[in-house]
Amino acid sequence: MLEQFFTLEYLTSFLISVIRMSTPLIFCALGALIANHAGIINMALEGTMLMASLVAVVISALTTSVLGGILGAILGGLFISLLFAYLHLNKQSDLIITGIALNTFASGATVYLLFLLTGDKGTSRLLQSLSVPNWNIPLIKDIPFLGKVLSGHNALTYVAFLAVLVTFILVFKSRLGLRLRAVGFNPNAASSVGISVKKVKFQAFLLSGLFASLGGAFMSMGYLSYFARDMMAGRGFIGIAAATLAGGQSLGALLASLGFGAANATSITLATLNLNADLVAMIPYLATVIGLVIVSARKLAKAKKKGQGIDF
Amino acid sequence: MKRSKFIVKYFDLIRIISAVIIGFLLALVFLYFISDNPLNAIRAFILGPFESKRRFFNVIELAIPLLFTSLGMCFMLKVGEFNLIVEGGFMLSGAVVAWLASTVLPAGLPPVVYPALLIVVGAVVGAICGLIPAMLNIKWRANVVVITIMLNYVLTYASTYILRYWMRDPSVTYLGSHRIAKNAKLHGLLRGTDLHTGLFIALAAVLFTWWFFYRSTKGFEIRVTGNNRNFAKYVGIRVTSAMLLAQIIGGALAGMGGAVEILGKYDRFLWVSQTGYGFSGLMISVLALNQPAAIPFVALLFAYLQIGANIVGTTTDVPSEFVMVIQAIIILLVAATLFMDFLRRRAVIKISKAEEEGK
Repeated sequence: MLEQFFTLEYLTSFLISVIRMSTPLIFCALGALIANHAGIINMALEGTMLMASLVAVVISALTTSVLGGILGAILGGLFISLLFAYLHLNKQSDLIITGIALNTFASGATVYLLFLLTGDKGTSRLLQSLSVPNWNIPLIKDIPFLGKVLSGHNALTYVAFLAVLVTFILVFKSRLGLRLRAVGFNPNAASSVGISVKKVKFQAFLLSGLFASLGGAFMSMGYLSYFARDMMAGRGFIGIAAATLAGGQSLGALLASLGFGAANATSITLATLNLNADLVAMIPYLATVIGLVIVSARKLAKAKKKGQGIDF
Repeated sequence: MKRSKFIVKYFDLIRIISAVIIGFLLALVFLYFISDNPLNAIRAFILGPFESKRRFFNVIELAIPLLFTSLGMCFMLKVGEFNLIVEGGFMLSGAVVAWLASTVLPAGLPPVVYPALLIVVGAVVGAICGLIPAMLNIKWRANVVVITIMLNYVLTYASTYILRYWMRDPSVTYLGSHRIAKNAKLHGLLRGTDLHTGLFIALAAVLFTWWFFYRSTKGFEIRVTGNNRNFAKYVGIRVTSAMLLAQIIGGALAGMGGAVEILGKYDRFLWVSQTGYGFSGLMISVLALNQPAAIPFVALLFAYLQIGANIVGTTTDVPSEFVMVIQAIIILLVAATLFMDFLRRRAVIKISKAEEEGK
């Protein structure tokens, strides 16, 4: 039974699946990473992505334009991020409670809107929404094995890889990034040299929401061709975990997302083998827990060596 | 002057009631603009739960699981940990208890002893669910929110696994367990309704929680730990054991809730996705400001909103999910520390001015 896993064909389709499953996670992890640099845990990424993917479908159906759909996604995602930023920065809301409430808000609001627009509470299949096209990469597509794996993905997948580079430049090579990190590292020090902590955090919220929105757009305009109720299935939180694993590095976020994407792809591959569906479905979530625990333990050990951060 | 003092004294209460009223008005606006027959929808939402005996008791029946999960969350929040395992622990305990009562244990166990035993089992399952993330967090500082949300998915699939492979009844067309033994079930309280003795267990849990936090040493230690860990450590409280204890009890309450819900309301185990009671529990506990005495009222309010929304969903053209939006908005308002703060500030200034003049 297992032999079929070791054929080249299977490996190719598995790797394609890994990249596909990783795409939303990469976007979300980058969003979480930017927020983390500014000292914010963006717990509403799940809801941000969910709202983005619904608005993407709706706007793409209304404007019959893919670009319109993506802009719609950004609009939907930024709505949640803006709300979060306003409540946290201007009304001193607790990050975790507000984040979770915003996720509930998005979960309810998307189903509600979906029903109003289509009369269906499950999916948006009745809407004539568009998908983001797949891209074949010239030259690379002709390489025998790699070409198949790397070429022909959804355009947003390539955007995700590009976004890793963009995030790196943004965080480590730009003025905004320097401020972001300064605010995250020590808000009082940053404010004493004239940086507006509030403004910088606000920008971090928006950037974080922007990246997550693209992940949401991928889910309903690439991964699937429609919106489905609660379709994020915890990806927002897996993205947060990936950012934690990355330790602030965008390349690390990419690798962690690919790792979790691989767990997801494994789960899907095994499910086709008539293995126990319930146990197989646990894989991505267990992988996240294990990854998070290992990285947290290593961080703690390092801090202990330095003699700090042992106490709660 | 009197008014200002009143505002300062009852500021939290005023804020919460205002948030609920705003949420409620928003719900009416939603219904008004969306429905083709707005008055009918609004009527169904507000009066629906009172229109028949069955519906009225549906509210109380729904409040039972909500009480357990919100008390569970109260323990987590009191010690300052966002341990959200209540959601998954509730479901897994329900599955384990249903499995025991439908396929494992003999049906002939005596009536009162049988459910009591099962509820204890449910509590133990829930306690273990609460303990695991607490340990991961205390030992390695893993982010407890992310860990528990991930574990909730794991526990959900574990429950459906138990359902599918350990207790599925192949003779029914839908995915359901074998019948739960009659003797295992909690006694019904009122003819024509599904109200069951679980209500008393839930109320006992409320009393226990209140007693624990405000009359016992351990509860006091947990509160101090939740307020200020460094201070707790300074006065000699064993912080880690307080954190563990709170999360174990919190999980146990959720587990009891799962067991009570299954034994009280179901003939077979039927849950195939998260129940949502855990997240409602979080919202209820937040809205009750983690006060055990306030939790029953807020739980009833949430149950009322939910049943009203369900009636709207089944009898009109508006989907019941609008109530999730309303609940979320109420929580967002309450969580916003500065929501309505102008009222308090104005009152404080008035009082201090008056005191100044009085001198």
